[in-house]
Amino acid sequence: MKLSQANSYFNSVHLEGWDGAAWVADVALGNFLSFDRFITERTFGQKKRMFETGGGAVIPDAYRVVRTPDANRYLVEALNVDIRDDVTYGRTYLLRECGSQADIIGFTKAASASGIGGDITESVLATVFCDVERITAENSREFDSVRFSSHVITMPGGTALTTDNQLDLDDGHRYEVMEVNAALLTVSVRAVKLGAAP
Amino acid sequence: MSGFIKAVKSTIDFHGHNIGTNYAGGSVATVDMNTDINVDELLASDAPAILWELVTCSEAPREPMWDVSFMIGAKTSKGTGYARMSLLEAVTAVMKPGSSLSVHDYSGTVAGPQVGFLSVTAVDLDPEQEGRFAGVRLVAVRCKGLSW
Repeated sequence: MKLSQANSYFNSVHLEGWDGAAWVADVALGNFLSFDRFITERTFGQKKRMFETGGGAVIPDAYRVVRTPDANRYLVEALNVDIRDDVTYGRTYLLRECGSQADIIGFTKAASASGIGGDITESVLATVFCDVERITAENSREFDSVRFSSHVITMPGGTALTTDNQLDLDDGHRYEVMEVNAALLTVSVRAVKLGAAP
Repeated sequence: MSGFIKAVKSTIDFHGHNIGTNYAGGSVATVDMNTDINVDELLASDAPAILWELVTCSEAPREPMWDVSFMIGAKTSKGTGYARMSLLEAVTAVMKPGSSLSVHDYSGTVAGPQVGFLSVTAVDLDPEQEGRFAGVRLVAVRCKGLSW
């Protein structure tokens, strides 16, 4: 029996994919597994899941956010393939729960005779699903008594933003983007919450 | 006094932007350090830039006479100190003692009429910046102004 057939035997979970505007039904069929059963506060055990597909089945690259039938959303975080005799017979995706949503804010300046622009307007460039984790508090580099709350926000791969952008999260707070880097199939953003904590 | 400070600020913006975009060695980016919008990427990059900041603008002793000071200079993360000096010379070619800068309100889409002038009285090359502003060297410019 082919390995891919054995691997596909347990594939019974249909995923929906987010195309940037709407959910698309049945973008992938596979075996949905908990990443670990540890009862812990760590992301490791609580937010991560595995999704195994058999044969040539994939989660198409167009869908970096997927949804399980229970309506939980997940980022496609990484992919490992299983190969035997030069044939890929299975794929294991690492999924990361993404319960938050962020508006990416961009700023433009009105044209001015000085050449550097005048009044500033802000606009929502895109809205993405994301995972938010607070990592630490940082001391202000300018004011001794001020501390900032620093977060890592994980976004779908291909999300376009820079440190010139800010984020409006669905927790009602504005975040300053401090650093952006690609991490596996996601985009990892280090951001500092603006304003006083509630 | 109405509008003169804004006109002075936008006049410095105008000259800073022109020095950067018309630099003989090729147009370089320009950064108004009085605003922090869309400058993080540029300041963190190794791209050369002309930077400036209005420091003081005060009546001396009363309007229509003014004391104005501002900082303007160059950032070059790459290249030698001489590349930075070349950019600084482009700055000091415009901002030199005895030169006069006519003040207009450039904050709108069209430049306003002349509302005064600045006479440059002193230009001092400041020390190299360190820490967060490493690679930046600024010129301190002091002016006497007259508004009308």
